[in-house]
Amino acid sequence: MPPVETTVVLTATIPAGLPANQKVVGELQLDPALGAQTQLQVPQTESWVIEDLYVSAEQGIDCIVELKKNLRDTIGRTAPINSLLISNPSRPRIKPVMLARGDILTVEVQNLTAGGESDTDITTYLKLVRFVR
Amino acid sequence: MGLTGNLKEMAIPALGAWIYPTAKDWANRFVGGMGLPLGGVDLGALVVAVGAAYGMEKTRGNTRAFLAGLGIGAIAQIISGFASPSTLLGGSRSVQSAPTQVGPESEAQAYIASLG
Repeated sequence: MPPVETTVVLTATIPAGLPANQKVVGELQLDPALGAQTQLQVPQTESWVIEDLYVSAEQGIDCIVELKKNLRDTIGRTAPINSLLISNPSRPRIKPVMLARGDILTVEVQNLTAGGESDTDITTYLKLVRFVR
Repeated sequence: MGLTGNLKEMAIPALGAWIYPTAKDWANRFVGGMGLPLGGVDLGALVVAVGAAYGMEKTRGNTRAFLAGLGIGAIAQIISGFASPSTLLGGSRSVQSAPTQVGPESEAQAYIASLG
């Protein structure tokens, strides 16, 4: 079966008044039918490659996204997300990472500036390539 | 015979059948080849079947029941070996079931390498 390219929506909420450089847990949505989840597990019949992470528009608070495997190992860290506009072809790229079957993907979002007067939602996108047996 | 007796009668052969895969692995180590195919039959299974039959001749009671279970496990595998399509085609079950290196993991690694 040929690889399947999928876009995962990554959302996080930076609470109002949160000091800078704190980490919040992001939510990942692989499929609208499944809803947003704090963890995604690679099915036993698949392997995944995370190839790109980008934003479609400038976010209210600039952040860094950290990708974690199996709830402990950091496997990737982005540049500040406001430099990752999809319209910028020369944007910095993450090093592609592989997740094997059974691996668990989680994300943490670190705000580079303090939270505003109200909660700020952050939305970024992960380009995921799924290899299915 | 009460319920306890019936359960015991079933449990001892079942224990033999449960032990069978381990016994087969040991037999294969003893004869020097893991799952050496013999016309589709695992050689270890054959050794266990013969050993269990021989042991049943020499023993009685619970030991004999245990060996019967062990032997049934071995005979079931031998029959399935004969019945497998790979045997009919002249292939080997052991070779066919060997793990392969081609899978989603290796495809994903090759993909990452191709990204440079």
